[in-house]
Amino acid sequence: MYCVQCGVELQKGVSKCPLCGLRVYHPDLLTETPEARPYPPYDGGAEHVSRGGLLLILTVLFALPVIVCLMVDLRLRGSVTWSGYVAVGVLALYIALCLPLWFSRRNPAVFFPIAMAAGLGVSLYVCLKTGGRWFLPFAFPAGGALCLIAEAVIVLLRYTVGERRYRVLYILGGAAIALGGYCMLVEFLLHITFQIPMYWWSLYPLVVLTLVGLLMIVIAISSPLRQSLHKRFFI
Amino acid sequence: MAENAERSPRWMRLDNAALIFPAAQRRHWSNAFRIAFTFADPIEPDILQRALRRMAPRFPSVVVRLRRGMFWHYLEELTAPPSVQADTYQPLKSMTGADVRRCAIRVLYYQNRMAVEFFHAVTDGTGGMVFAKSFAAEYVRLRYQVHVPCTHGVKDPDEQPAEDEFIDCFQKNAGPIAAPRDDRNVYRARGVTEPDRFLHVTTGVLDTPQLLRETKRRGVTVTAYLTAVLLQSLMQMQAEDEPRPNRRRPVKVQIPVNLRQLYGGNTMRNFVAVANIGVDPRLGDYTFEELVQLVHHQMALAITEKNMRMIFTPNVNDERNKLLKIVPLGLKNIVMRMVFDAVGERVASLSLSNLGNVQLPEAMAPYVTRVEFVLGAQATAPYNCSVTSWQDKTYVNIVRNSVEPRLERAFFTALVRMGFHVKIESNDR
Repeated sequence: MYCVQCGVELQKGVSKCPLCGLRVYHPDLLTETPEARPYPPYDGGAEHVSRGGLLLILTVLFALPVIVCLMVDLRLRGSVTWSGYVAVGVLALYIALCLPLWFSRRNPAVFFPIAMAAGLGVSLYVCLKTGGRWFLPFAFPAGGALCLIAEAVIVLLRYTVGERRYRVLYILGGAAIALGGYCMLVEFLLHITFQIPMYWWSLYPLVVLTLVGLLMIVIAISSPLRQSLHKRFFI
Repeated sequence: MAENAERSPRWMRLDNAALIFPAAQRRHWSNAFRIAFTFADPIEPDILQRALRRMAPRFPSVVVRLRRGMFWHYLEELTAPPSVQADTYQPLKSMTGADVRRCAIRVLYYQNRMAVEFFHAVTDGTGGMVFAKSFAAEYVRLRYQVHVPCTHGVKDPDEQPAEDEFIDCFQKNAGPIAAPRDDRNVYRARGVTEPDRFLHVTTGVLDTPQLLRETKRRGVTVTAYLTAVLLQSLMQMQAEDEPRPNRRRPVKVQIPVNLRQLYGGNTMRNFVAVANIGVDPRLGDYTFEELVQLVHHQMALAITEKNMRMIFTPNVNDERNKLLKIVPLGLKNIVMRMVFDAVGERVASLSLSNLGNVQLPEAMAPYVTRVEFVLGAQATAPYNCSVTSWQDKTYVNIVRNSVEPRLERAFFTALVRMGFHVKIESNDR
């Protein structure tokens, strides 16, 4: 029995070519007695290396300062005051840094929004504890919009196809323009939430980022421009 | 060495090449290799154990355990040989520090095959082959009740080991001039590491007469020929990884050289040094003919008595350094580990170790159907390659601890395109 793709002879009874993975099938060969395998069959990974131990240590390292702070706070003040901020902050940091390590597939498109949500959770806690009214009108829309832009960049970089450097130019160009718009949104939210007068400072980053973004898109579109730039700026 | 060998187990300093291996060892990786003999009939574990018990006292420098001194590791003879074990789906399972402190070799059996896995600090491929041959010969004697003469490298279990079998030949043969360390900027294949560090072993079985005809036609050795195919495959892989030719790196294959052939000696310890053979893809495309000739001439230049002496002398000088000698072992291990990570494997893309055509006594040959040599993967790159021949078959083993079978596919399909008949076997899951 031979692999039609690699041209190598295969052991009798194997289901796929070990070199290219092509499935081996021939109706006349179904009755062939399989050759002895060169090694004992895989027994389900008795040697699987688990990161559980390391992650447990990391979890304990994160938990320790929280526990100590809570204990000190409770002992001195009789209730959770400042230690709450520490606890929530450390929890958010843990979610952002350590949570992905518990999974074998660490897809940033999934874990980035989770980390951002953890950050927003910290803002909400601080807002509630300090009696502020800025979370819903400011932190949530500002953080949410930033998360949406970053998530779009991650998803587009990860899941679109095409020659990488041009694709990156398109995506980053679009992201730059979106960031310009985001600056305007932030200024507007600051104005309505904290009554800061509109100085229209956000127009400057908007104009600059839009121009930079458009330039990146034009360079990505125009092959002659790319060649001309390469000719002048190669190193 | 201990003077009273009868009453206390023999102990030995590590030879110069072995010093680095305990330091470089890590939880999931140890420098080890395996030599396997396949017989015509299923293995009888009891007889195998008896054969090992008979043969172990003849090889007090092989059936050993690794122990820690204040300043250096050392090997200590085992008074009782290890138990033979059933082989697992995973060849060359990492030998942890605790494992080698119990015993630095493993004897395994599976169906018709017995295999010996050696921690590289104990011996090299040639020494390992002498042990494995003698052990297999003793097994044949006990299993089939035939007389196997002690020729072709088979040692007599009843004779006492000669003192020159324990010598560190590096110390004896080091010269006054040390070669500068090799260039480090070579291509290192990458791949997604198997999460459980599973070691894929892909064996390509080639017809030796066909291979010899082809190498003879080109006027080169089998090692040079296979190295050229390997270099071509590595260049093909690098071209896929890096489309810009000027960004590519030199491609080098490390060929272990049995120094006993150059300096004589009968040592059972490590006595091997490497020749780094390679080409620079930035200089342009190479035809296969060009590659074969380049490898052939580079090997001829590198593998000479004087040049090889210059290559292993720096390591001997380091060992002789008085300051280094008095550094405690723990600290020394840290430094050696750093040196290994920085220099050890980075001078070549991978190793190709060829033990050559195995010669066995005629009385034993009918019972042996196959002889194999498998080298473990590198610590920081996924591949390694080992070759051995028995009768009219040549077994090329490519090991890999990454998911993608890139090198073996490029290598074996290249051989098929050159007109070789290649049969592939693997331990794929």
